[in-house]
Amino acid sequence: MSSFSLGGKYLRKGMRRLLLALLLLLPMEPPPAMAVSSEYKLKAALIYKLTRFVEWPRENRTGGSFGICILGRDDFGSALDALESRKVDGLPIRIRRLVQSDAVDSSCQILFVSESKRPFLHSILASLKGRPILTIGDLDGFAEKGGMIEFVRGRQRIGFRINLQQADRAGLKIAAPLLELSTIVETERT
Amino acid sequence: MKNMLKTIVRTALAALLLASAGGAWAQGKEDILDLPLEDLLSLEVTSAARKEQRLKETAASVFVITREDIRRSGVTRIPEALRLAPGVQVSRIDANKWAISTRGFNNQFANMLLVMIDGRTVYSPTISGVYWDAQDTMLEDIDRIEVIRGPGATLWGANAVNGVINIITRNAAETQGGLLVAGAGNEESGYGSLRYGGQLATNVAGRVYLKYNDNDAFWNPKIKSDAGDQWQSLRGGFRVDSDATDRDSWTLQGDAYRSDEHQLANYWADPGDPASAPYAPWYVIPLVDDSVDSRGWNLLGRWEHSFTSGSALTLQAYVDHTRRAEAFSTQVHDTLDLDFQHRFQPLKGHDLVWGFNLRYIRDDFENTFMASIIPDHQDFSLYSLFVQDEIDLMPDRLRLVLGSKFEHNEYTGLEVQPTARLLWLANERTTVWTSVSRAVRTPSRAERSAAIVFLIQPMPDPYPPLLVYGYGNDDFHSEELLAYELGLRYQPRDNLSLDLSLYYHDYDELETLEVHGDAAGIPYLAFDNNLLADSQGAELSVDWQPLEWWRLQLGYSYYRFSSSLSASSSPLGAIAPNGLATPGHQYSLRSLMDLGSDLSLDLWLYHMGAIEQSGYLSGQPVPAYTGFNLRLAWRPRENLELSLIGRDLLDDHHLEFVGESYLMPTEIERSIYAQVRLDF
Repeated sequence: MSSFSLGGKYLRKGMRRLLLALLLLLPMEPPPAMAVSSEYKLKAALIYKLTRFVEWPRENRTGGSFGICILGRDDFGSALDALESRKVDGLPIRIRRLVQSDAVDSSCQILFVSESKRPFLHSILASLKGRPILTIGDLDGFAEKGGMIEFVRGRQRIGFRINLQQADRAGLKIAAPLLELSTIVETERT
Repeated sequence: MKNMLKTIVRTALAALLLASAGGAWAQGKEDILDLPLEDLLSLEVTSAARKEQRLKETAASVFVITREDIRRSGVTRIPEALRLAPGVQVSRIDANKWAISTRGFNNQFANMLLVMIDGRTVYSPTISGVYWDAQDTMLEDIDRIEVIRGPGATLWGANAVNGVINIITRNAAETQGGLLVAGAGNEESGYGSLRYGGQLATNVAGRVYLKYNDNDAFWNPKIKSDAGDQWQSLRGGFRVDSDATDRDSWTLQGDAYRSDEHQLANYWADPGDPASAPYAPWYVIPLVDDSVDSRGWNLLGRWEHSFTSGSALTLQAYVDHTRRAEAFSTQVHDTLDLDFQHRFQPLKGHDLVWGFNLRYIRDDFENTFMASIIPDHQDFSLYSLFVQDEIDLMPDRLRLVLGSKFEHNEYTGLEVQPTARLLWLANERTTVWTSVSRAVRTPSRAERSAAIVFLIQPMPDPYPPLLVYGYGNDDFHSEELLAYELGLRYQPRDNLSLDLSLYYHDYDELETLEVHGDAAGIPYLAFDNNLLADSQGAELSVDWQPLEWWRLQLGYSYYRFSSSLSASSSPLGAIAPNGLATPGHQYSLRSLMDLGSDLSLDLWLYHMGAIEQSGYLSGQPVPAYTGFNLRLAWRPRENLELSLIGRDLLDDHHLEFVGESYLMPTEIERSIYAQVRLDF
């Protein structure tokens, strides 16, 4: 280790600086409640919030957990895992990540369809028709193509587009306060 | 290595402790999940999302390697991941050396490609190239790798002549929790990465990682044995991200690494040294078991601020230290870099970005008989200004991008690198773009101030052997490129997309090594700019998803090159192998299959055409070869993945590239390894 001189010195100095920087982070004041967050952290929180405004049919309540399923590429990362410490109607939330649509079953109360599934959106939504699963997505035209709730991104904020018809058919009830905050759309004819 | 390990482990532990303490501290604070819906909807989103959508609207030849692509390729280091992008020539010289370039000009010290990791330039100013063995990070924490083929000099600066590779890691908020990846096999003797991410405070997330790789030696066909190029590397680092306020976010990150590499090399012995007598008359010391000791660290801070008007500014600063020691040279570099960018909309239909950059580089060399850099210590500064305007000629239809970089360096003064690009969004499924750009490759330290022994020629008695040197040249100036490009992106169906780029590159003032004779008639070589050349080529990528569980990716690139020496080239001759080390055709076909929700099978077949002349001086041809990789992954539980990876399965060993003349040709061996990945 004789040659560990110059670089080593810098290295140790560098490490000390890093530690110092990390230490400095801790006493930082929490920011105001209106802080900005990354897009998917916010979307994860919105999914959680939506559960307060949607009523699932009684017979759908099998199993001891509330399933939030992600179909396709997971853009949420760990943002979604934070939901697992929460409950919906007394049931603990369970996050499931699914590769293919045939894995969607009654343990999913919410299905988030990832952008990566765009080419197969039609067939995926067709296979779910009438099932009491709240479908959410953020790819363009999700609601018109037969999805229930679409997250749209305005210039800087996120909004909802809701296909009420589709939710009704599946026996899901969406509360009025949510509808007031959303744009209502219909399935486009193809 | 031990000291380094200790330091990294200590830092990691300290940071983990801090992270957990911070997590506990943060718990009492308001959680985003507790905000009312109305408040959530009023939050502003700042992340640069919609990247993929934007990609369709880029007037350049861009390919993005995604996290998923990297994961499913089963590679263990960054340079190997670059094989995923069509048009990138990744040729492995030996276990610890790579020659990587886009659009030709490949060699061990390929110098026309700019490589950045999270906004930090990683090329070595001595060679203007990249030491790929020193560039790595935890692969699972990479968000994406953007590969821009063709000049990117307007935005990125000098040396972004034939391409830019931009490696971007994920925000710490997206990498929370623990992740362990470990594996072992015949060539990958053992590797492991460990990351842990935690919440340090409300809106402050951090992560730390450690990565260790141990690679076995490849095959030396000349001596029919082990090539003596085994190596180990260890690195660690951290990243902290914060959305501090409504409009501000900042990042602080750093890495430290050390690698211990071996190479079997033929070195020159100093005829003037009595100890060299056994090596007379050729003075070559064969098969020296040399080691490369490469280490460094970096620290980067970035602050981003957005205004209500939609404009944004970014301020970034970093320090970077590298040290590389091998038998013929020891190089130390310290870089300090400051970067500012401002984006705003001065008028309707204009999106303007401008910025400036200041860079200060200090180098230090330990010279040897074989290679010296004179003077052995230098301070060098570089400053630049750029401006680019994206103009909506017809909203959502036709867009014009005009811009230029003005960069000043101490060698060649002011360099102007403009670009003009036109983008036509013909319809929802078709984008056409075209561009004209100028880019330069500024002189490296070696081209200006090196003195390298190229040859020792025995002479009849009683004369001493003749030493032929290659010298740097104070008059060596920038290499120039004028590039014309045309591109098409077409998506005939939802599950099929195609991306085609065509280019014509016109080069001037390319590097040559000219033969001269000194006053005593002794020959020597000197760097000069006497090569004219042009290249034509095409890059194609096709992505087809025939079934929900099956995806096919096709990549193809074509390259043609011609060059001639200018009239001012030395009448005694010149060496100009530039541009000949890239095959005319490269193909790649990948198949990605999800055989069930817990099983996936990925196949990858690729073919590299023959190389006319690889290596700068050795000029060795490399025959064409075909490779086949396979990965089978099983996910018995949500947080556990077991995979089996086979690479270069078609032959016992094959040659991909030949490095510089001190190295012996080394063949890449078949590699099989098993990996476990655990989220916790």
